[in-house]
Amino acid sequence: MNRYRMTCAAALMAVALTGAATVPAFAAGSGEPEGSVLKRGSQWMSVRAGYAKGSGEVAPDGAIGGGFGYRRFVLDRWAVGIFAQYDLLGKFGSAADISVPLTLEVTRHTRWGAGVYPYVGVGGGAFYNKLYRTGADQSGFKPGRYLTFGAQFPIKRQSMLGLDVRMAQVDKFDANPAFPGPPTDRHKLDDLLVDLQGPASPEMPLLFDDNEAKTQTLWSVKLEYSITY
Amino acid sequence: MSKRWMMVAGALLLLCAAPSAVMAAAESMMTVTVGREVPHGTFSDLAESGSMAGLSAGYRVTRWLAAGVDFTYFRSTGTHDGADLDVLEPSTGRNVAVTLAENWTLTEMGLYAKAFFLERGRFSPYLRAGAGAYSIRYSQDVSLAAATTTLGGSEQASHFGASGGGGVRFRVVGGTSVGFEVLYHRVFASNVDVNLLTTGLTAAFGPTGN
Repeated sequence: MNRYRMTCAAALMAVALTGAATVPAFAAGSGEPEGSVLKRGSQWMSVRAGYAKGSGEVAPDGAIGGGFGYRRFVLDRWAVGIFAQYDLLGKFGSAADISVPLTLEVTRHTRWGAGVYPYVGVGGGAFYNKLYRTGADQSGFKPGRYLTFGAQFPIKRQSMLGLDVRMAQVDKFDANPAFPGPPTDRHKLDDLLVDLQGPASPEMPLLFDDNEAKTQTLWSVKLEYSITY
Repeated sequence: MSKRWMMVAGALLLLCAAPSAVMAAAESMMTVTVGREVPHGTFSDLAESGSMAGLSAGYRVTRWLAAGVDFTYFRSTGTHDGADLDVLEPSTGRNVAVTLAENWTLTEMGLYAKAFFLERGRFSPYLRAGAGAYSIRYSQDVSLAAATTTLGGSEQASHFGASGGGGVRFRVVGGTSVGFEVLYHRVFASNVDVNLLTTGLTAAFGPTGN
């Protein structure tokens, strides 16, 4: 792990720990009934910013991302949320790997003690991915799904500060002059849906040693500020 | 019709004639589905019938409408599975006799809505529609080979898709019910759509008293 990533991780940990240590004191004086923000009908408007990265054996160091969203509790402790993010997953020189997920998620929230509101959930949606300034730019929408978890801390009346972690799975682009990926001459599944029709024969498409994964995991760890009402 | 079947039919008629269901809005439920999947259209030339399993979590928004999220897994063998081939091994340049193992797997994660109608007694028929992200994976391997071969691998792609169908559920006790569901899935791939018909048995569990 290089120094930049260590610094980012340390900074995020420091912020999270500071929040965890100081927030209960704020929460105690907030006057908010305990857990009322998790009641059915409660709504949260959120903005978030932090670290974002794409997985891969050869992948650029992570960079930054931000986004905003809205959650509504359809049941006590169960929320449906809609989020839009813009994540710069990393750069090789001037070439950039960018992801813009537009997603819907379902989260289960709970409360630990007076001032910690952890949650876990799943989501999915359309991920607009773009390889930019590579010499052979690619872009397009792909379906993606993700697991999300985190925790929120009330900092004053109707305000929460928290940390959101997201692990999304989306299809990779083929190899690019700047970014590695599956070889461009590998079979495409959409072509196989046509080419495999017909009886078995040595001329049918055969996969020799095609074991490199065609999906990648997009990670993000972001600080989130929410207004609840 | 035998006496036994007459009794079953009579019991069903009595259940249907029972007062309208007491299912209320604000009901939450987890549903497990297991069953069969049958490829349709062009995809039926590529895959055999297979099995499916699903898990969904839903919430009854109003008396007649429920919505939720679901995850479904479909698996079937390819139509070329078990074929004996004499293939040219690229690493040695020699022909190798192999028996092909071919599989298709799909996973789906999405949202759905159910519209309940004609509820009588413990029976709740419904229509269901959904949409989500489908991941299609095709894999080849060898089950038998006359010599070392590098034949094997997988290709994968994700696409948006939709499903529609219907079912019926029978409330057993409290928040527990069983049922039967038929769904047609269409995955919007680039060249040809991937179509599946699924039939499954459902078991649903929710808080008693909803």
